[in-house]
Amino acid sequence: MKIKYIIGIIIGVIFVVIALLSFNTTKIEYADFNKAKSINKTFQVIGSWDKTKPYEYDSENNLFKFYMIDEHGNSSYVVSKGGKPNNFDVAPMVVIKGKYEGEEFHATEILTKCPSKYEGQFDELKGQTLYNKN
Amino acid sequence: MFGKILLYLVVLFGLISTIIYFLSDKNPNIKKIANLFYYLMTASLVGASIYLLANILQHNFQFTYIWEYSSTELHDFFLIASFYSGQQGSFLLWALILSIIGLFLIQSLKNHNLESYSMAFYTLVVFYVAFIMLFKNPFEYVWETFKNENLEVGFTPTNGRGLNPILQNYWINIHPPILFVGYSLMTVPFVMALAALIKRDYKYWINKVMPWTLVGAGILGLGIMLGGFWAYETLGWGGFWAWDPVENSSLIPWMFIVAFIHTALVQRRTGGLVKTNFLLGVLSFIFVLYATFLTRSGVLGDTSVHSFVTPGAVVYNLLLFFMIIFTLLAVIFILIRINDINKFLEKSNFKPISKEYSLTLGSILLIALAIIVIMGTSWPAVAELFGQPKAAIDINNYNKFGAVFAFVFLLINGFSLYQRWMSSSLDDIFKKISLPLIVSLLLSIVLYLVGMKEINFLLFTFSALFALLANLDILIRNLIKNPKLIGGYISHLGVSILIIGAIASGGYSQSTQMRLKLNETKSAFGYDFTFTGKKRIETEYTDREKYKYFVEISKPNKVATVHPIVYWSNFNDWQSPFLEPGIYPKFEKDIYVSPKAVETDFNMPRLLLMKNEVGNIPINEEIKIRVYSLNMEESPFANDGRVIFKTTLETELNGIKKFDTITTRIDPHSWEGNWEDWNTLNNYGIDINLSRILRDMNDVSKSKLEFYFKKTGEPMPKPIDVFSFDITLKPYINLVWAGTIATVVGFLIALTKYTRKNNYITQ
Repeated sequence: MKIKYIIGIIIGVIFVVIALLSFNTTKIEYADFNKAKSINKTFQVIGSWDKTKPYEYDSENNLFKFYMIDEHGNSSYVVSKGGKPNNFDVAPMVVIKGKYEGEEFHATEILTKCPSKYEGQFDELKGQTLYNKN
Repeated sequence: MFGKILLYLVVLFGLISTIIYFLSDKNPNIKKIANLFYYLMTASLVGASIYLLANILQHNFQFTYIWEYSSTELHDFFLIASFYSGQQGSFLLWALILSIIGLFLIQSLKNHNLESYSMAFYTLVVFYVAFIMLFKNPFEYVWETFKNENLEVGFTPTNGRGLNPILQNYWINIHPPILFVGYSLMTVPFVMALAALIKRDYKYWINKVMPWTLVGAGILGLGIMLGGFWAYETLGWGGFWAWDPVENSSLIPWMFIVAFIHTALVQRRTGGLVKTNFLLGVLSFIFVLYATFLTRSGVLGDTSVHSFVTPGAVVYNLLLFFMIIFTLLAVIFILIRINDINKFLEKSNFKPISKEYSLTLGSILLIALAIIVIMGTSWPAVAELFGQPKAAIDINNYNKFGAVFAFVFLLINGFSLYQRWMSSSLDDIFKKISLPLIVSLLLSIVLYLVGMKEINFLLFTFSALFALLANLDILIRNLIKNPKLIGGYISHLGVSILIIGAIASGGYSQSTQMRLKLNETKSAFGYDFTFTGKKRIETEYTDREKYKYFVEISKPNKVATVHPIVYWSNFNDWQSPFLEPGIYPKFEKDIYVSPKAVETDFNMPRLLLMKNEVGNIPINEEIKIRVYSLNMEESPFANDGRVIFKTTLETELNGIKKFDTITTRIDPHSWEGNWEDWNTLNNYGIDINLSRILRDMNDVSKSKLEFYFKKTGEPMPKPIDVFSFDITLKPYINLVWAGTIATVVGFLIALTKYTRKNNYITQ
């Protein structure tokens, strides 16, 4: 009885170590734009879309371009292959994954948080008007 | 007030019922009283649920929860979904479903010796969920939630915030409730395991728990795959599983319960794995609690797009406590009884290289994969706990490990069907196994010749085909003899089919982009695609402009139309549309059309110029034109926030130069002009319109101005729609759905083996 437990535990430990190593070598760190610019590696950057600057979707090349401000206040120009993600406009936070090419951050993925999970902001309570499309 | 009172009653009745159940084991006559309080608790939950639903349907936005998750523009159908869209309501749904399932549990355990303790622990769980609701209350009023803002008591917002357009789809009424039922059913093996440990029933509890386990695994599996189907059908990225933490946390309990089903079967047949079964019986529910904690506590925060925001310290701690206390309970109970179990164990009939050996091995593999998923999902949170830099794992890890484990699992599964219980003899196995083995080998060779060259896909497909054929073989043999036994084989068949569908659609999909003007046709993948128009739907709602776009897909003799959706909503200020794909399902593939952008082509001569660049006016190429200067005037025009731009143009015809200054109102956010501000270039009878300034982000002097031209006096031609979309071919994806259905059906058929008439082994 005892020996089977020992073998089992050893195998289990080896297995866990292999898995951890695999995760560790392929992990993608979070960074701010400064760090991402200085190291040529794929990073994830958390931030929000800069509403004071324009964005555009280039339909000829299927590229979505915008400006983003990371958690430490750094701003960067971001270029991403694909269209504008669904909840982009209403997501207070956005996570992009990619690396820098020169002065542009080339994102392979943009993740926007699902807004239905947000709790209401007080300001929206009053002044609820139906918006008009101009 | 009324709702809150009901919730307090739920907690009160739940607590009383739990206590009396605990006492009823030694005093069976008070069981009836415990049941009574259980029914009262359930009735209060039903009452609270009806009350919440009624208030939602009546749009009583003074309740904070209702204000956050519903609005007057929501179709009644989706108002029901508002019930469980947020934390508070989903706790209520969970408690409600738990309590109703408990009604069946009471009947199932009537006069069974595990009745008292099972119901005691079960009611304790319901009580705890209800208790959390006291702190995350769906019946809180807005003036209570925002009490720092001094809202007057009785203030009622005129409208709620509504539901995200991307969720307004009939699936939201299907997937979450089914998932909740699945989660709730995981509670049953947990409480029964605890009860069995207390009562020292190490053998017969397995028979009692099996039907519940099968139902739970079937429904939870169904709920999980329905989520995948919803994502595929609505979200537009063409996939059905993203290894997102919330997805993973629903898969983990399922993997444990499926492993448990097989180890329980081993115990029934050989008497072995007694301790394992107690462990596995409790783990599924514990991981339901873990999943609840991960997704609702805010711990995953930025790393998952699905997770809820931080619910506050109280709820965070309650969820953590929930998980820890029930885990400790289970661990302590098992440890207390471990010596007793060892004494009870008869000489086990467990033989190596036997059927039970294979089943156990398979379960170990499943658990190993579950551990990988647990580690990967918890990694960001754990890494942060240990002060490591925040990181996310590469989801390809799951695919890598998953593929290896699934490959081995499929081979073992097929092989095990030909083994015998409690026998190490492999004598006639190889004779029987040769048919499915050879056929699957042949088919794999055919696939290689036809184009599947990747060795890992080949191996994987071979193992899936082997498992499929083995299960089919045994299934057919049993169809006449023992129809009640075929459940397991159907489920395994389903899993093999699902895996084949996943390999085909995941590994061999092809994709391309297309941009079509109205009525324009282009070809891709052997089909002609034509954009034939759009139609506005749901016109009765003013908070949206929802369009069905029609794309015709044709081959000679066959035409089909898909309807991707472009949905403009005030939810995001009409900034950009929400998009849904159009799917043309065929047997051997899906043609998946995913909208990317809608534009308007103005069908007019157009010119793009940088400042000082010389171009020719398209209507009369002899006229040269140059942007001489571009000036912005400070004061906004007519309070609408737009800015007046004055552009001075130099034109030249036949050597004679002229200057014209045109005025355009430009939106300072989108840098677009408008169609009212046409200016006439007098000498030429040509009207010019500055429609857009395309700013160059890096070098402002390289910005371009977009001009349109028309003849003076003529009206603007009608604009035409331009539709850009991705086309993806997803080969054999429908095998994924077919496999899912087969898997779930298999569980339900297996269930029939344990209905009352057939359950001979009772105490």
